[in-house]
Amino acid sequence: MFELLADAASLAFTIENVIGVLIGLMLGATLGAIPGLNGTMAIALIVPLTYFWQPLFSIALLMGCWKGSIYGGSITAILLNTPGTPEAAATAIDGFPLQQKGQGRKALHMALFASVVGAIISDVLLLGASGPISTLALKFGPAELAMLILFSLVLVAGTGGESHLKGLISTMLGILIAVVGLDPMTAQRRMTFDILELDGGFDLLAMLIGLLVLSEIINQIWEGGARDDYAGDAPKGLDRSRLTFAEIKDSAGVIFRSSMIGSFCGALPGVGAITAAFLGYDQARMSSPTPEKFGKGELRGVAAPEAANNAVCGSALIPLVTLGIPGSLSVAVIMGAFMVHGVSPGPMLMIEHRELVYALFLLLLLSDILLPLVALPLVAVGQRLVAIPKKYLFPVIVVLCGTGAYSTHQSLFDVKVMVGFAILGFVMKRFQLSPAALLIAFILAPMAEIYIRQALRISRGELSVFVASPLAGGFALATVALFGWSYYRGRRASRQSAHARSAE
Amino acid sequence: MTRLISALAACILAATPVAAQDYTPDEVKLIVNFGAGGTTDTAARIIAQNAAERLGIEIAAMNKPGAGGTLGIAELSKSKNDGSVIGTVNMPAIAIIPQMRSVPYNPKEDLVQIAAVMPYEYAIFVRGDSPWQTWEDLVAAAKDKPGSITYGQVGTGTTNHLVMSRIAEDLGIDWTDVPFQSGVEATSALLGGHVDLINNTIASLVSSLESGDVRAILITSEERFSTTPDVPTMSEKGFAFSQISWMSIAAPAGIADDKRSLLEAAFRDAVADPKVLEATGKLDLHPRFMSGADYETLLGNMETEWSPILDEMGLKSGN
Repeated sequence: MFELLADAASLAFTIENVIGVLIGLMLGATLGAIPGLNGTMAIALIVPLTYFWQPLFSIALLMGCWKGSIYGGSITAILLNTPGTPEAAATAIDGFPLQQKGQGRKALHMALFASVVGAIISDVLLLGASGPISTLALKFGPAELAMLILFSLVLVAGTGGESHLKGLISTMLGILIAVVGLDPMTAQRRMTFDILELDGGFDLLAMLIGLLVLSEIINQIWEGGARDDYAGDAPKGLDRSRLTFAEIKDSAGVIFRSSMIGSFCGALPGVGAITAAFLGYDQARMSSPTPEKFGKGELRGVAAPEAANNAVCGSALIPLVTLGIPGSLSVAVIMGAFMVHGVSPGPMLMIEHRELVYALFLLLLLSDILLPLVALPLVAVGQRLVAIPKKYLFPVIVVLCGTGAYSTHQSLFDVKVMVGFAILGFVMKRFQLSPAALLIAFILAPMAEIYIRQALRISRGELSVFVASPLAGGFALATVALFGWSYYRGRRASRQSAHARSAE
Repeated sequence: MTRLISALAACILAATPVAAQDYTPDEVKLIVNFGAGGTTDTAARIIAQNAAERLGIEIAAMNKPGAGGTLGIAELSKSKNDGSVIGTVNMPAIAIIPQMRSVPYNPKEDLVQIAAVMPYEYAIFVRGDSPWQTWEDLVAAAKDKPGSITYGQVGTGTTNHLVMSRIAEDLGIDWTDVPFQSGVEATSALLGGHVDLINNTIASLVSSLESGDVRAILITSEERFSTTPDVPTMSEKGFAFSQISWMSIAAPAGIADDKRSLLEAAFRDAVADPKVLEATGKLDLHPRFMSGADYETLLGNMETEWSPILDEMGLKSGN
């Protein structure tokens, strides 16, 4: 093992590769921080160039780009409430209130710290335990995944809102919108109104840019009017808030649990960083003794989703290197870069190209360690950006949103989708409905549908399939327990507030 | 003076054949009807790049994925037919999907096939530890316990799905299809033991084949596959049909005949170029040429061949 690592290190740590990682991180973090643009776009643009580059250099650059992008999204999520990437949607829930309280710098540093820890834990798991993790991930078939998603739905049900009714409205809206498109089993059109572009459902990115970014711009213009000139009610004067050791210690448990959740999500095909971020956030909220503080500027609410979404990157490579299965869209694109160099990801990779694989792992770890080097200057630039008056900042963001929505399918239809969802998001915000709850329902509901229907197809309609395996049964039980626990807490909280009111 | 004129005439005469060979415009857009960065996209770009060099033009690839490839084709069919736009086309999007639901293009009237450039290669796979070693084992098991065998397919109405149904029909067996959203998810379900077999492209499973994690049991496309030379094809097992799907290059209808033939020749030479074959070979993809005219005939045959099957399966539009 030591010899292998030494060989791998000599392959990995060349000047070019380190530069590749740095360029990737810089590119990814910058694009990630810009609302509307993200790292997957950069990756797709870079891939054709990698045909002419060394494989390790290419892959180092691409992975750096992906990791940088997932982190970068948090910067604008915290500073402007406009998540730079969909993965940072959960980060904005508590990050932005912190910024409004004048603690933006602290929140940004916590996001960076949690990201680095999450990424390192995930990469260490990739390095040391990819075999067992991929075996475990394979045990998740349709029935197990169905139960996992149900559990997740219950966990995230209260995201970003105080009122159960309003949470429910947002969730139902998300599910309704997710139904649009071809039926996943029969390929029949559902609510597409014969618009060909809707056969694949609403484009996730276009929808999210509208719902999360553009709607926030409209909202801030609506609320701000002539009253303030700066985006996000930026506090006057330079933000000098500092992240303290006590705060890090306080969040350590949350960060660790989120990192494990993220790593696990990454290893499951189809469960990506957005879901991981919300699961991380909500486990922090549910396990907190003071859940009512979440959504109002709780530092742990920033640490949790950032640790979780960054932990997805490393472990997403586990199914790729062990089974040849790309765990996410970005990984599928990176897989193409492996293959043009004659390196087919899959079980043979570990046998035929061991040094290369370990060199790649080492470069990933390097990228985690180098992330602060790239991120800290960006954070400083970001803080300066908030000091730019809205009238200059917002038009630029709107143009970038349009560009981002257009780019995936090169389609004006997606730009219209973005505008539609921006209006929806704005209206929701006026009624204190959480767009974040809509978003996570939109992502989870189709998964719940397809997995439940697949499981029932396999079992020929036998409902017992959902509790037949220990994993499925375990998650079914956990779902019931979680449901009971949140009901109990809801009752207790309302009793306490009633008590407080009567005492007044 | 006469000398000058004759010299000029000579120049013009000499230039004419060259001019006839010249493709215009010299910048051509290629609409790729699937996502950027994957192996098929990479192969399409390699082939197009080589063809462009032969024509002395620039071909700029632009991805327009979505809705089973139909979005890109819809855009192609609406594009200018002056030779400035061509596109990739996958067989189901022009021969099968239009029978299932309405699409805003008529594959026969709105498109001209320039050349088919790459056949997709498919097989039926089982896990490495599966008790079924041969096709006969599998069929015997399916006959023994009707309905108990599950197979993962990669989308209702894909060739993967249709071929598996037709096999079942031919043999009088009953197996249960489980639709997955992608080949990746179907493969995970196979490896995890959640379905018994899958029908998938071979290219995506080469590494697992070599390691023994999965075993190909029947090649459903037309020819045996280099990595698995011992695995028989459907036609060797007596089936009268096989799973045929190509990636082709098409242009909007009305493209001038000379432009069409120039493009066709360039793509014919490109997919025969050893450099192209070596590059795509790394992706486990094997381009091959079929003339545009032959491919249009094949498409017509496919359409009539699958029509009654779609009807029977209740997938025809109007059902």
